[in-house]
Amino acid sequence: MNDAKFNYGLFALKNGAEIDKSISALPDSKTKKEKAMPVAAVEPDEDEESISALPEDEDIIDEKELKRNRIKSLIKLAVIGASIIIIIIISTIAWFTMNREVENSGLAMTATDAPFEIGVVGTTVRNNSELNKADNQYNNGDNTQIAGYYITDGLNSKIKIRYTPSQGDIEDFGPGSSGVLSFYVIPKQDGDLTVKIDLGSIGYREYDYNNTKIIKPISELTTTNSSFTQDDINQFNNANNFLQGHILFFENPGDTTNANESLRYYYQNPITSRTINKTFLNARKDVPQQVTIYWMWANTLGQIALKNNNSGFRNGYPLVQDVADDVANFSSTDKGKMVQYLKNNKSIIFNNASSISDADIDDASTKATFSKLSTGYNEADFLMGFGLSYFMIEISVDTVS
Amino acid sequence: MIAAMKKLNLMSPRKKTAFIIAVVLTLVFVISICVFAWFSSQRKAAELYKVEFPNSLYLNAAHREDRMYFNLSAISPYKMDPISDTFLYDSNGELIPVNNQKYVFSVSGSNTTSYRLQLAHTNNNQFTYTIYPATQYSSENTVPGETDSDDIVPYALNTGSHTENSIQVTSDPYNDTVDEGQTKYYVKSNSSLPGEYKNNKSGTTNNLIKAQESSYYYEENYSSMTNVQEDDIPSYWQSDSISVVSDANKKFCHYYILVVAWPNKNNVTIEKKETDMVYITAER
Repeated sequence: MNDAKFNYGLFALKNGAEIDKSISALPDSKTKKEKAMPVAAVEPDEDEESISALPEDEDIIDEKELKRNRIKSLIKLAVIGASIIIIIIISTIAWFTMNREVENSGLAMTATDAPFEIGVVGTTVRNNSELNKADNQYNNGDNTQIAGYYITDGLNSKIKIRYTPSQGDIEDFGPGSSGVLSFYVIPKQDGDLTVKIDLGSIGYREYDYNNTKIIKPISELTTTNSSFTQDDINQFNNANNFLQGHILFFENPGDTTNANESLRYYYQNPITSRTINKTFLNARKDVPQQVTIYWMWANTLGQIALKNNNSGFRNGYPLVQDVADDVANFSSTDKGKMVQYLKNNKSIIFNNASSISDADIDDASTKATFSKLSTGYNEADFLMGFGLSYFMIEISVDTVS
Repeated sequence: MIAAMKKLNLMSPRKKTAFIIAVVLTLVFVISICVFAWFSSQRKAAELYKVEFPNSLYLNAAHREDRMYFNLSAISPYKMDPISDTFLYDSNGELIPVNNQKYVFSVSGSNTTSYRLQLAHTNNNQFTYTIYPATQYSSENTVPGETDSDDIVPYALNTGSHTENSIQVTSDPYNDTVDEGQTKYYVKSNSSLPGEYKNNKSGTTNNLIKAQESSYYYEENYSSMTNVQEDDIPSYWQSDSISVVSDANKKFCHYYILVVAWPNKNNVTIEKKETDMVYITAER
């Protein structure tokens, strides 16, 4: 930051110097005067001599008038600029004053800034020791404030999600796996609260290096901090890209128990942008507000891309509710949103993305096209399985400005 | 803005420097407050999941070579050298009659905990088909001494033969270049792979279901047709579930020998030559 700032200053100075040089090289003395006058007006100093040395005539009177006008406009500009800066500073500080200890110190400001904390419940952290290696900034949180909850604070803003294990839980996650992420937003004051929730997925690779087991984000792997070749790392990064496309998020559960099996589906309201806002009306201070996010790594493409199973190509339930081939307002249905998601994210969903067009995705119920799409999806899944050791789902919660 | 720039140009370099630094510092201060505020208001929660290694299952010839090397086409009633594919003779110079022929195949894969083998075959010939687990040895010397020589099936490795399956198993790697011209030895175990026929009466090989017996599969295969040869019903055999112990990379390779046998019928001349179809599948 400092470097950038310093360079910027140098750049400005250099430009200024060059302009000066070009002006002084002009033969017209009037131009020279224009150059000298504002400086003299702002702060009379050695340049004053050059003004007093000017001849007294009508032109000079006009120029004095001009000079006054310029000074006026410069003062106006300065006043406006100062006002804007003051307003910005005040508004920024006003933001801080929502917190109870803003006046104490800079440290206190960081410690108590957010108008909410987040909390989790449950007995167990999944893959706890591995999570410590993957990102040691994540901690258990404070469980002394609200009974049963582990919560963040200003100094520990990253918290491990918990769950309560039950029989039959799977340990390894792959195509067809899904999960429920449950956490709580805990307001620090009474009133309405809106938060912005961003959902991210991060791929990790586990490896031995210098006799130590390391779990590192794939995006940070290099040939110097691991014994992988660049080709290996490229392949892992490829897998990491597919992870971004293959983990899908939803706001609500679907219907997996319908008596008519052909009507079953897993979820509603896909979060294809990976961002949602949640508003808690009349929230009470320190009363946790639950947020539940559903995620799934779909086993087969047919569960995402097909409008319905008239073609018979699909294996398993669809992710979102089926629609008729000629449904009205397709794009506003959950299925329409999923299909649009496929079109918008081909390169992180299909391994053969370069040969897949939007028209192909619309034509998924044709056998040859379905085969091509399915192959690309499955290859990507396969590469993910080989390239990724772990993946993290990270939820970032922010205030909404 | 343009006017302001003009005024800026007209300042002395010293004042210009002071002015620009003042503006830049102010901007940095204002921006940094906003950015800092943004960061410090953020809270994060995360969960880490272990990724399942991709599961796969391959059915190949011996030593995981491509399926084309698993060739059942040449069944001979006389003993042949499987390496040179020529007949063998006894001390009297006579062809040696045999009543079976053995074919090696492999099942390999990754991240698989168990699988089943399935065998489907037609019954046009008087053959029986039995699958035995097999053990691979890299040289004849390493084959246990007490092994019956009839239970050993040599297999000459082929070059460029891993185009379908490139899985490397820690204890059983392949190297197409180094392996060229080498021979592997597969020893049939004494007992066959546990399993049963699913559509033969009582689940055995011998008690075949007949096509004309409508109470079985006749109707499903042939509907109301009546002119059907009685043996024209394939038999379906399925193994019990086979457990897998994988290596550190979650990969495995199992070997099997398919024994195609025909009864010793010294006084019977079989004139009809028929073709049988045999399918082997592996499923998770």
